Amino acid sequence: MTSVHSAVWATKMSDELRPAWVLHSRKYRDTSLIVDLLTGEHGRVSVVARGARSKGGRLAANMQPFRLFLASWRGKGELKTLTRTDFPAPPIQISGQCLMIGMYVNELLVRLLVHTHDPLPHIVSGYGQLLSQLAAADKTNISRDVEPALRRFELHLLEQLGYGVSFDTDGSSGEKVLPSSRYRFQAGTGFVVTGEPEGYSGSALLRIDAGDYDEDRARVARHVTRAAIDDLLGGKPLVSRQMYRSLIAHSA
Amino acid sequence: MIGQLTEALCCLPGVGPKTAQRMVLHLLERDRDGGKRLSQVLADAMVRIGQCRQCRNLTEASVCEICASQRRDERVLCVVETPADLIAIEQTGHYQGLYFVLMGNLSPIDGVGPEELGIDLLQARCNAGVEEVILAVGSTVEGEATAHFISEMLATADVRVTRLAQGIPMGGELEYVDGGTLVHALEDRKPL
Repeated sequence: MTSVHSAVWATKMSDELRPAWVLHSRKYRDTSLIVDLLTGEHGRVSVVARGARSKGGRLAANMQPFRLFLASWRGKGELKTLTRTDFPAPPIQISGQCLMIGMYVNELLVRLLVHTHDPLPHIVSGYGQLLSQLAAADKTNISRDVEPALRRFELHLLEQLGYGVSFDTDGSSGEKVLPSSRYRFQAGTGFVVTGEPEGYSGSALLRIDAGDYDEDRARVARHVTRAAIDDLLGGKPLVSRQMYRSLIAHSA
Repeated sequence: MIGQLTEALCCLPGVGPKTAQRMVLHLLERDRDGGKRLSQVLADAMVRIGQCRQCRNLTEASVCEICASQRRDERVLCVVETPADLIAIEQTGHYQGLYFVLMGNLSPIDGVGPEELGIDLLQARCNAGVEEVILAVGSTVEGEATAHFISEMLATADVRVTRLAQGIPMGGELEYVDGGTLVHALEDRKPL
């Protein structure tokens, strides 16, 4: 995390202002917004920002995805009312292909964190780190600069939600993954030994487990996280993923 | 029935139960003719107004007035998010080209992807004599994503893709302009 972002986190808790990331905002009534926030202490919180679009829309302009700010809110229901805001740090600038990846991450969080009010400090700090990486990434080399970070975030998210994927253990037998064996991935169970030659090699899985990615291993991790995430989402596809794919298909 | 009408009027933006009731009583007590005219035009409009098959703007014809006009410059295409944006640009009287209306911007969380915005139609239009595409989308994260997506999709077409400049508003004092706008204004500065 950059120093500005640490500064935001350091000022937390004073006067109930809590750090929050904007995941998404949509218009509500004539002048308001409904904003989905990602917070460390309360998970995903939906707030109404009353009058955010009036008076020149200054608040609406700040309520953009990927914005970290300080917020306080009140209310007992699902939908809270935003009471105070402070914007100590400038917005993170993410552009081009990285912006598409950022939108994917936000869609993923909104879809997966439904009715989650548990504290998610690890997810939130991982999210902040990932966004910093997206902002700083070399746009010409997405697969090297961004993919491993994205995969690590997805795996971490799955783990925090209780659906962790273990790359070093056979999901059905409970035995350690062997470098010389081949495995297939089964959502819900994990890696299972297979005799098929197109299975993932055990050594690749162990290296992914150690955080060691190359192009091939990044592809393996992508297939695995996709299968695990799709299983959790229950069949309804992610729009941002289709969008990203048509972009890649077009530029290829 | 009065209750029904009041409730129906509440679907309008900015109209709550109180305002709706005032409208209903006004029509019933003072302006029945106006009310009849309104109901007729409204019923007609709701059935007959669709989208232009070239630019997707709202129109009752199959091709809208702007697209059908002989006086517009067919080599320039301005991509806007909403019909309201199109009207805003038209009112400046400064733009002579044609339009393409996306009817939104890319927002995966709201379920809006490239298909909903008719980007395939836009691509097809760019193959037909268009030389420049001006992306007049909002300066929001979704607008940014929409602009990036369209520019990538048009990369293989033989068109120049430009985006509206961002900077200091007319009559704006620097001190009150937000940081993001100032950064853009500095980056896009022009020689005098």
